[in-house]
Amino acid sequence: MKENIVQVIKLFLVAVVSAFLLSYVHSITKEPIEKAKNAEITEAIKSVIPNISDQMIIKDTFLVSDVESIPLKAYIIQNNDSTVYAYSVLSYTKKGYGGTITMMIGVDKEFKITGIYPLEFSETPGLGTKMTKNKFKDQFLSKSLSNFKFKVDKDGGDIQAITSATITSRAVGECIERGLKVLEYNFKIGETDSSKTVEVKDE
Amino acid sequence: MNNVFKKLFNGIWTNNPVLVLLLGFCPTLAVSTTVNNAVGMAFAATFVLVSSNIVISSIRKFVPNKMRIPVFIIVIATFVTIVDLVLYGYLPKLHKSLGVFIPLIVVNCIVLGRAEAFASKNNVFDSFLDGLGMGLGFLLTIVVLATIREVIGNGTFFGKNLFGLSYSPAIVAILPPGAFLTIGLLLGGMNFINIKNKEREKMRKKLEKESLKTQKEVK
Amino acid sequence: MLKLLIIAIDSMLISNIVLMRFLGICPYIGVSKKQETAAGMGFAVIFVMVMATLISYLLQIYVLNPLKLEYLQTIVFIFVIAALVQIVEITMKKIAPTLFDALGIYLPLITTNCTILGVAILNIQKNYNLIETIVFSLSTGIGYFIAIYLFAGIREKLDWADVPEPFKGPAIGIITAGLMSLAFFGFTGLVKM
Repeated sequence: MKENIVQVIKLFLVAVVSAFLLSYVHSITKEPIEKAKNAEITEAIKSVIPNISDQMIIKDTFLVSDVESIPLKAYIIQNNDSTVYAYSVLSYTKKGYGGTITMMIGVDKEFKITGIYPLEFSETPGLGTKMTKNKFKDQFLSKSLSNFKFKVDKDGGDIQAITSATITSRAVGECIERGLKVLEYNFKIGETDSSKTVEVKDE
Repeated sequence: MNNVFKKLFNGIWTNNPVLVLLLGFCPTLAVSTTVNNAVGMAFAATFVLVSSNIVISSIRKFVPNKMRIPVFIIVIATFVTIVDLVLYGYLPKLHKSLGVFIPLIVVNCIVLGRAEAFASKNNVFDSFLDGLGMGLGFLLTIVVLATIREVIGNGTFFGKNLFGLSYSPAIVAILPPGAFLTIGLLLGGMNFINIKNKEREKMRKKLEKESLKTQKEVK
Repeated sequence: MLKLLIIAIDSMLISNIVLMRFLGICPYIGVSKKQETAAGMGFAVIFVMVMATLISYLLQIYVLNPLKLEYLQTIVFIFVIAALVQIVEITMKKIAPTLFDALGIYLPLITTNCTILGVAILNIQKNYNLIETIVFSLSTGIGYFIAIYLFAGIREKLDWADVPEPFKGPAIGIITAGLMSLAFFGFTGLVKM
């Protein structure tokens, strides 16, 4: 019996030492981890919107539209006199070959695409993953809902699909279209209605 | 000094944790899609392996025999969590691409296996060497595997393009089946070398015997 | 309901835990020489996986998250699994000795089977709710069973095949696993949402 108690105490001691060590490491790495979490989003926004300067303010908000019930996270990039410089939206599609694809989509004030940046996807390496290459991405530049059909050429749209990755290309089209629709629904001049915005908070 | 090299060589070739002991297959196969990930994984695992070997061998007399395994698991899990947090904070990209396989170092059979089989019975210095040797063996295997897979399957090495744009890579190598096929071939290749070595050894002994015989006959 | 079905098919076939996610390969190679033992291991994995994932899910939601101790996840989960395996072993021996006779010897092996911890962690990462958690862990376990049982069937035949000397044993086994993985790759794109 006595032996057992000693054993349990020893195990307990090891656990206590380990817990202290971990909480110490945790307190050191806490800040860098927070930064790393935000860094990815910031990097994505910077890569889809050209010429962002450090003085600009990025506000994040959740948006819905008449057809979308799941809110998308959008970012409003403002000049330092709080006029709008550009928008970007974190859109998604569930129709990728390997499931969900999420992308950051950047547009200028006229809602023309300035860049897209796939964040999460599990497409087939070497085929579907070609969607991250500029060769595919560049065809969307300065396109908008009014001058581009976001369907692949096979379905009568304007997207030049990646060879042998039609499903991925189709999904990307759907993803971009969803993002653009939500942005235009919420922000396009004349239709702007602050009540449609679910929640606006300062970063 | 000779002893040190022997210990390290033991981990790298004679008792290579992956190819000979058949331990730690999961991370080896999963993160060997690019050389970059492979190196990151190998360093993370080696750090855990070496530090847990050191700690376990230094507390081996304090730990009661019956409580051995839970104590080992706590020690290993502590170091794994440290690696996890540090990578997340300072190398977030690597952390993301290694994903669930960082916490899974805890159940990597190499680590617990060496703790149980070696560190719990030997002194601190030897355990340190054992951990380092095993870590290097793991590093070598996973890097070789990743090199083959990345070069064949993606046409790149450390992310740098090797063959120009016209090269269309054999994608299967970086897909899951490619991992199994490549390591199977590596395993076969290693066996082949070992078998050849053994045959050569046999031949040499035979020749020595024969030459001894002829010498005797001459006498 | 549709989402549950998709989760089930996805984790059983498309993202098969062994052949696509590379978890639990050591026991996959180690305990697959006979179909009988493979089936035993498979059932033990299903059983422990569902319980372990469920308990670790509850712990994460009701203990770790409220206390902001997420960084202790690894250490807590592995401990829960180790303890759970012990408890299952003891209770099974008392309550269901026949089941224990069938699965008993595989239980200790499961602690170091990375599928269990892997699925527990993946489950948290995927933000599943309670029902999805149960479906996910159950179907992943079944996926493991399918993979190891089929593999053992092939390996039994393989014993009689004329394999080149260096490839005898594990090497040809792993290559076989590679071919199985290739076959399972055909399931990708099966589910469209």
